[in-house]
Amino acid sequence: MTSPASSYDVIVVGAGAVGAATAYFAAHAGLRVLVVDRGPIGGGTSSAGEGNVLVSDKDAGPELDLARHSQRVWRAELAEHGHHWEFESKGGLVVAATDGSLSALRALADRQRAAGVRVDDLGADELGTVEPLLRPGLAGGAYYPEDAQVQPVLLVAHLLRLARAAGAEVLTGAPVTAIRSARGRVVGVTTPSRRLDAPAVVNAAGTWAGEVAALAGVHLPVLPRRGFVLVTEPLPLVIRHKVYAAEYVGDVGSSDAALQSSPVVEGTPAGTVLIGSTRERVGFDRRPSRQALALLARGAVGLFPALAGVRALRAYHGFRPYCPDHLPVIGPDPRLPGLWHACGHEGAGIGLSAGTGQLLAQALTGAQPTLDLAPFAPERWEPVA
Amino acid sequence: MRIFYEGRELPARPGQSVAAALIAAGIPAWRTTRHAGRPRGLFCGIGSCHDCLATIDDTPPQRTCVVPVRDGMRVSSASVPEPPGPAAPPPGAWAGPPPTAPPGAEGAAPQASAPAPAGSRPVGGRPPSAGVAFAPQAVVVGAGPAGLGVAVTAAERGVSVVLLDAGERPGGQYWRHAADDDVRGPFAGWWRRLRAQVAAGRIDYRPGQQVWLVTREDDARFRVETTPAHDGVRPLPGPVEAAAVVLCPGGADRQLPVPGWTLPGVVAAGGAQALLKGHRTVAGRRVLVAGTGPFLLPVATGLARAGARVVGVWEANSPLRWARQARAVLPVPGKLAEAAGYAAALARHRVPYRPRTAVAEILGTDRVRAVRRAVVGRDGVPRAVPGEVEVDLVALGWGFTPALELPLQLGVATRLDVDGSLVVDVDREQRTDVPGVRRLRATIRAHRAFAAAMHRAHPVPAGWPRWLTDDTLLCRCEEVPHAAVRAAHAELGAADARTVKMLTRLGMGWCQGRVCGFAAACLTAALDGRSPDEGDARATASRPLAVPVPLAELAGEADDAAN
Repeated sequence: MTSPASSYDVIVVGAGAVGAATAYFAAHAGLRVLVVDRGPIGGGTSSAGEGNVLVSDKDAGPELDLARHSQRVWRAELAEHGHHWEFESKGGLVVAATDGSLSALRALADRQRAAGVRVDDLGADELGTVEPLLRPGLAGGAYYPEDAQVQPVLLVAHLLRLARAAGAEVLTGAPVTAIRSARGRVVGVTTPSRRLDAPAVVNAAGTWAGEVAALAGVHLPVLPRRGFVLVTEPLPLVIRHKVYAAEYVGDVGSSDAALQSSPVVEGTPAGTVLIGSTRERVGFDRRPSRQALALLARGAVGLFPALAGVRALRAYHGFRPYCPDHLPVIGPDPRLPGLWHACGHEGAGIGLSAGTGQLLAQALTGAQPTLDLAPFAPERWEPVA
Repeated sequence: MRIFYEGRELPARPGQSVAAALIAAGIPAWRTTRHAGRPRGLFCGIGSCHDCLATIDDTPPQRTCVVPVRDGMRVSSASVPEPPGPAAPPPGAWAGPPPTAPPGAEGAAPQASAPAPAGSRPVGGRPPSAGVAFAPQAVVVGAGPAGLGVAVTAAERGVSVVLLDAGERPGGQYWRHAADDDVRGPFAGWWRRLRAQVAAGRIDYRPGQQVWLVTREDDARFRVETTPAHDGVRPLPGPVEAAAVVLCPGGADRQLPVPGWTLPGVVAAGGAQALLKGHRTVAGRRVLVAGTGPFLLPVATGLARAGARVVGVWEANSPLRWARQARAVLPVPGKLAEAAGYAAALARHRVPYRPRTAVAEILGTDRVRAVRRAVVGRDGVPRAVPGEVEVDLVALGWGFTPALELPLQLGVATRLDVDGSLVVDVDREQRTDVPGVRRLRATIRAHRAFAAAMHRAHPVPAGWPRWLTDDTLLCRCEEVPHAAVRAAHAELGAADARTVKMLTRLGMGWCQGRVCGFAAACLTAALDGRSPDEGDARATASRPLAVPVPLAELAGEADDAAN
């Protein structure tokens, strides 16, 4: 890419969706921005998910507030570019198999509605009109018209393209080996071949953000949580929405280390059907898991029996950046002035990237962020003095 | 025997593939592509590229080059598959919250209860895992020359072996033969010994089974999961577990995209050979064989002998390059004799052999009509020559690329070979860095030096991307044009093959990058001003599912997962 200068207003470490969105908004706010990544653009968790832009899977609270804020950013500030990353407001359909899970879903929907989310309760007889191939006999569901999807690597590439057009620079294949500070303030980063100066460094290293934080001498409890996705052969459009089982919300919020699986099924513009989701904490184990693939297939066929004869062509996995309280880390780090974080979004980083980047750019320019960042404070795990 | 294509009755011979029967009836294409609606027929001919899909007897689209004809079979175009209709959920499918008891417990779980066959032995003194149907001492994947040799030799020394092969009959691509062939030569001996070991119960030979996953269960056990190669084969009752796994999955023709290469009538050299040897079908009347490497010679002579007019063998390199490889060639004198035999056969059939010549463009609308020629300079740059050569079949091959998905599933170390293909890094004894995993191809030991010499004598011309136009498709499956890859690099900052794949969908279709992977790695690296590296090659070579697997089969594995 471009040959970097040596001095910037802000250096963003990590060229994933969150780093790219931060760079986009910071550059458009007039800051001189450099994005550095040890690998290619969008090569980490951003390239290993389904491109979820969801409100449906979040209970009332700070993460839902951030998701709703992100919805506004996707549909306002970023709307004109949405076609570049295949933004599709497809809607989400959450289905419950039993009366017990349906009543839990209804209670969740009530809390979400109170927080401003649009939800339509659907009876058992209405599910078939929304998704004709759903298996009969489900107890009911809820429809979330705001749920959307993007193609995440296109998102990263185009956000960075637009950021570059606004003056940002992007340096790939450049691992940050040190975060330098002087007189108690961040002054820049070091890569194997360069010293790069900036009074602000944003840690947007996703699942690897704990390692980047450690370079600055601060602790951040971000851990990998592995997830698999199955991709089928191309089909005519047979599944119109993002369809998932009500149990998914519980799995996302769980902290269990063991393999969990709840079906998430959706068609894509390419004709393939994406099948999630599993989550397990097994470190950075990159080998294929027979058990995970089997549970994905079982879940998908359980929701859509017509998929039984459909072939899976490929599978991929990613490592979601997991924090113990399932909330991202966003904002300045009081432990080292000049160090900022935008990481730890677990499986929601694509959807939350727009809001995260916009809020962080506000804070970086000294403005009051539109949404209070206190719940996402980086020091929240420090013992209270 | 007869089959019906779109209602039209066609003759067919027992053992012939559906694709061969269609081609023999003069039908070059039976599918249209999703995006551009272009016609497609057979390309690779050996089950790898999936271009030849068709709906057969109302099943989901299947590879017609793999499915043998059955009397009365109905074949139709697979252009737009019908949406699957609603159906009842299978037993044990998801029906609510993650249960505490195994979901399969209440329903039938045939995989879990299948008994291990007689003669199978516990692995390492331990009983096999739940759900395992076969527990031999060794499992061999592939029944080509290498796999067949290993399986038979091991069994003759008392080792119990399960031999899995995607083909209908043993022999692989190298010893491919028609169903009613009178098999002679070394292969006949191996086959006889295979039959003897099968009869003695030491080899459990399972043709028509593709391996989709190999996993390492613990220090002493590998597990191999299979899926039938087509709907005419019954699934195995469960996976195979063994202390040793020998992977001999072979390879496929390596390809370079060229304008027009997606036209029906353009096939892989190995595809033309497979049609001829396996199905006695000559895929054209006026044939051009082009690319590089010694394999072009048997393809050309075979077609000529079968009655086709071979208008030329266009070899991109000069045979003089072999002169520099004398030290590697002289120890294998049989190869020189083989080459002399092919030269004589070409002369006999008056087939012109043109060195330093490549296909610059393939012309036609719905099928191949003609080709344009390029002369390849010493600098590896092709320069187009005016004029057209009329042909109805073009067989292309640029050497071979090994099937690596299974070794990569096990995480073995790889490297780039002399020819730029990704290969497994093995020691002199063919051991990988994963204990218990050996990898064999037909070329071993003394032949390794010969193979390296061959790669040096037949490189891909450095300047091949110059014959690409903006709209030349690089990825046949997802119809990704050259211009899209250039834009991903120039506008979006993709500097490696994996990022190009994620941005353009190149390599994400039916073949999972088997056909375009090598070219994509070369091209991406060239755009970025460097040589392709292992990462570029791995971008399209890693496949957690080695072959497509029906979801219902994958779901069956959940019973074991719950245990």
